[in-house]
Amino acid sequence: MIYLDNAATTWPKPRGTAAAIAEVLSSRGANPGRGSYRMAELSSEIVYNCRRRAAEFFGAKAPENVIFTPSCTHSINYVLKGVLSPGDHVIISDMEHNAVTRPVTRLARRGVQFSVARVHEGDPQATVAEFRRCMRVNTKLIFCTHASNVFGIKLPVEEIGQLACRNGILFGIDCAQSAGTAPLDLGRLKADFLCMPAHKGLYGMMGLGMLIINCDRLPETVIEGGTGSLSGVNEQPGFLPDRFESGTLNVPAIAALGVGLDFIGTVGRQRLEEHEMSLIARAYDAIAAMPGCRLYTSRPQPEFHVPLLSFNIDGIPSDEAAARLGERDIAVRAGLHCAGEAHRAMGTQSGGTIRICPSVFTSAAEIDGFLQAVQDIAGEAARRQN
Amino acid sequence: MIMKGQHSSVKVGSYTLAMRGCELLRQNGISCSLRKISDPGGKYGCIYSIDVDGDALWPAERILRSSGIMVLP
Repeated sequence: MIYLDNAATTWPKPRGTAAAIAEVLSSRGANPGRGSYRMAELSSEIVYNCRRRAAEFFGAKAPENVIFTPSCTHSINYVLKGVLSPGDHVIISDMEHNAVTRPVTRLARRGVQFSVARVHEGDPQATVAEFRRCMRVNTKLIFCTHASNVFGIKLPVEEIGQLACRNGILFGIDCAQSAGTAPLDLGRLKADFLCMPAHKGLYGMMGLGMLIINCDRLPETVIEGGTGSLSGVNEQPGFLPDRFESGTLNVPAIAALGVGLDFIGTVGRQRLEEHEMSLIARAYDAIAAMPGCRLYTSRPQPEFHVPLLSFNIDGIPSDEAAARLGERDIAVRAGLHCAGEAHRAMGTQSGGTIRICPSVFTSAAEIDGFLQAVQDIAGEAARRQN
Repeated sequence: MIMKGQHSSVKVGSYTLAMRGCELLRQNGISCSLRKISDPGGKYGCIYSIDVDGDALWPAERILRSSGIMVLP
């Protein structure tokens, strides 16, 4: 199989991932941070070690600033619903995934106001100007994606962070498509909250996300419960990470994330990004030269894009094209990609797009195999139309 | 009064804080170990004790507090 659906979840996973998960289940399966017997200590160490590695990777102040959540979507909900109250205003972008759009829409029914800033591909100043134009006296939070999950368009988060910081506005980023691939260093980035999944660019497994908190203005909690700490107190602990980590943690997934972080550290994030960008540029150039194919962005470059792209084949709905690729054992995703706003912004909401995204395990030969299939399908479509 | 050679403990709220606390103390040359305990006063319930040599108690507390780790009374 040629797997190009890495924007949905990376596959395969690095060597050692399955073994790490199996080890937890077979000999380190105790509930972390609860018991004091040896296996509970081992389980707790897995969690702590991964927390520390994630903190180092993203430049967080301390390991406790890394919160493990069930998913990136949960992390985003914790921020949006924990920060915003009726009467507050939030700015999002027109490239958001439903993980942002839907909670904001729900909050709007409860009296939270929101504005949508237009993103200008390849023009950071124009995008920042849009965010500035949306600001109001009651703007409490700017929350935006780092990169569109449909078009790969990056937002200028460093500049937006500076804008937010200068105006005393909290700033959160949905890093679902960038964590592990694009540079994200909280030592330089003026962001208060980073939200991300473990199972995409960090090469972990599903069922785990992270919320990295980089400020002292902590959100209110959305979930409360057992944390294994201060059990005699009915109030939720106020300190990190326990404030946001109620319930048993997904230790197998945390062990897998630890392997993923080590893997990225060994390969080198920049090398990984360069490999994937070269593959996506290869695909872009070939599709751009194919009659009957349509692209929606400029040629991908690391400053303005993450390594994924959307396209369509004239005369074939995106879902049908994806199915035909699937018949050839090529995995892509078609449709709206849970991002109706982004498709509306780009004019592709009626039929969606076909999205491809390589990973570090994708080869140039696989991209060429995919391109040959697209050329064949586009040729068939053209003959059918004539 | 704490006598040299005796063990004493600093109490913190969670395993994560206890682990980071131990790392910080070791980086500063203070040997320590951690264990889960029930707060003897009954106020907090499950907490963690970072055990250090008696004469390292005050430096240990100072290091932890200056690193933002909340030390329980």
